[in-house]
Amino acid sequence: MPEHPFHPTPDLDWADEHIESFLDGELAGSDRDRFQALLAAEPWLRAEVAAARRIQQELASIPMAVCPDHVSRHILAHARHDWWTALPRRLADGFRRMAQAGLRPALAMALLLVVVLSSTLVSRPEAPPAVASADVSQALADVKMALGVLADAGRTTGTAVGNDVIGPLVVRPVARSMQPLSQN
Amino acid sequence: MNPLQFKSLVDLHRDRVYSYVLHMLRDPAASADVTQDVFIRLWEYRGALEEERVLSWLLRVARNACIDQMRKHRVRLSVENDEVSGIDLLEDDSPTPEGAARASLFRDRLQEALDRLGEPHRSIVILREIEGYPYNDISDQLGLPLNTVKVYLHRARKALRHHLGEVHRHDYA
Repeated sequence: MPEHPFHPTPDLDWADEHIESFLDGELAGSDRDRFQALLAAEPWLRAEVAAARRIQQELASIPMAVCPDHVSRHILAHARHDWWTALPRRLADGFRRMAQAGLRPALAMALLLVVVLSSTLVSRPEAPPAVASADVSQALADVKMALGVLADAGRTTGTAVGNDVIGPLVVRPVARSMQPLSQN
Repeated sequence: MNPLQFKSLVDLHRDRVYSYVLHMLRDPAASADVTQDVFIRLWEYRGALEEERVLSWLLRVARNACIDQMRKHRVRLSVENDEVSGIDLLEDDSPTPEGAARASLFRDRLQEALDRLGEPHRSIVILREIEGYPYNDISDQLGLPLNTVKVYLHRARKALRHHLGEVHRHDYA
């Protein structure tokens, strides 16, 4: 490494001031010619130019650091927590601003709509299963046939089956069970 | 801006911010803390920022945070007393173990010279020479006129070069 000139000439002072401009290609015309002439004559200037070039290359070669994952996790956890904590206040502020802006009727309608829709959608009972009228007729015919068979059996065996037995034990339960079907 | 939109901004800029802070502080743990604080401030100010200026804002806030941190803790690398250093190391680029060691020493000396730069020279060197931002972006990030950025960069490069030369002369005096 050539020794730095302890008694620099005006030329070397000027060259020292323009090394970075020379490397960036910003010297033109007579300035560039002057610099190149000094570069050819002065070992010290050549070493300084090499140093400046190496510094630029070295700095440019440093890779970008990668942010650790835990930093992102903490940042996003903070944002999410803040977002959910502040949500009720933001909603309240929004409604308040609507009210202040003279939108009370619109606000009332919006609230009413929300209540009606939610009650309709949330508490609506389940519809009973659809039953075809042919099925109902068939069920009634089956009941009549069963009663007929019972009466016939009573006559054949000589055992009388009284109305006080058939009514509560057969007719009424069957009638009760058939009631929902007949309503359809 | 909801947390999902915020996450995309964090993913986009976190490495740039962390890298800048790490070059300023040279301490990974402190750099992680500062980066985290900077993005939390971004979340708090999210309604007041235009998206295309977010990175400039982040780097400006990061720089102020780094300056505060350095004032508090005086983060500085200890200067090693190696016998070989400075521009003398420029002349050997061979891929031998000795050449690699000399290149490593050169980087250490360069880092030492960078640490000695004051603000805003140091930030300008990091943003321009390491991170590769255009002059206009640096002007916006640091809130300095474009010509001032160029003048400061010129002075900073010269200071780095002279520092490496001084180390060389000191070692061989």
